[in-house]
Amino acid sequence: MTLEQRVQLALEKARRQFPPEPKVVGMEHELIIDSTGDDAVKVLVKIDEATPEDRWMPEWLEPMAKAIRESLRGDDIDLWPYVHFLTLTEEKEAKAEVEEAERKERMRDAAQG
Amino acid sequence: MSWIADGLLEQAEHLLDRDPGRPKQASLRRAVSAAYYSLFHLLGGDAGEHFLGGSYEFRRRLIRIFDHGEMKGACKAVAARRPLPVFGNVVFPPDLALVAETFIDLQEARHRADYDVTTTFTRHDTRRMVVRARDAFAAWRRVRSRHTSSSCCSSGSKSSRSVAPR
Repeated sequence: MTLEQRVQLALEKARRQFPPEPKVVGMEHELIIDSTGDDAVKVLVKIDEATPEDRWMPEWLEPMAKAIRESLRGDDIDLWPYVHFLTLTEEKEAKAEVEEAERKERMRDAAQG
Repeated sequence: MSWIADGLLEQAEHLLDRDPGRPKQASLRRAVSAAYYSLFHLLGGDAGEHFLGGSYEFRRRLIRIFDHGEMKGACKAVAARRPLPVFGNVVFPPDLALVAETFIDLQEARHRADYDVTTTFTRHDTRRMVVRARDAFAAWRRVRSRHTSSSCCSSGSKSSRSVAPR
């Protein structure tokens, strides 16, 4: 089994341990090398858009991050998980802001010839 | 250097609420960076004060000797409940593991915030990081307080000992 497959399985196991709230609508991960050169895994946990504001506090989210860390550790996968929580709308809005800024930069480059 | 640590954490919280509506990426990035450095200064400052002592003039120069990568390595061992050779067979209290986990996550986020222009930050995820920094401050101070109010180390088995800043 490849590392990627082992990570996938560990994350699926972790997801089964998640509390019912806040509602998770999807999960993505990517094997990365972090800023200090260590192998790691970036995990995006997609949270339901209708989640109330108070459910975004660490006491609601950290049990999920903990489940992910413990599942990887339990399967002897020595990768630190960098876990992020976001909604699809937040992800799109943040990307749109960066894309718009980059579009302006390119237009300026083009105008300068 | 607790005053720097507290000031940076307040700054991170201020930046989160600075932009009404959708926060600017620049504000979120600076909030993440301030949250990381608040924790870095809290730990570095306390380590200097409690492990090395000396005058304020000496300690304020000491922060420069702390290596971010080495601090992360130590935090990974604590977070994974692995023994640290420098401490021997120790039992780390859960509060210390919380501080270590937060430090690792914030350090990586800080690096992305300051150098990776392709990455994006969201309000909720950034708020989580700042609140975790605040929680890590409280956890660290509980560890310190427990340790200073107790004259001996008492958790774990007979062959192990607990570790906390003096």
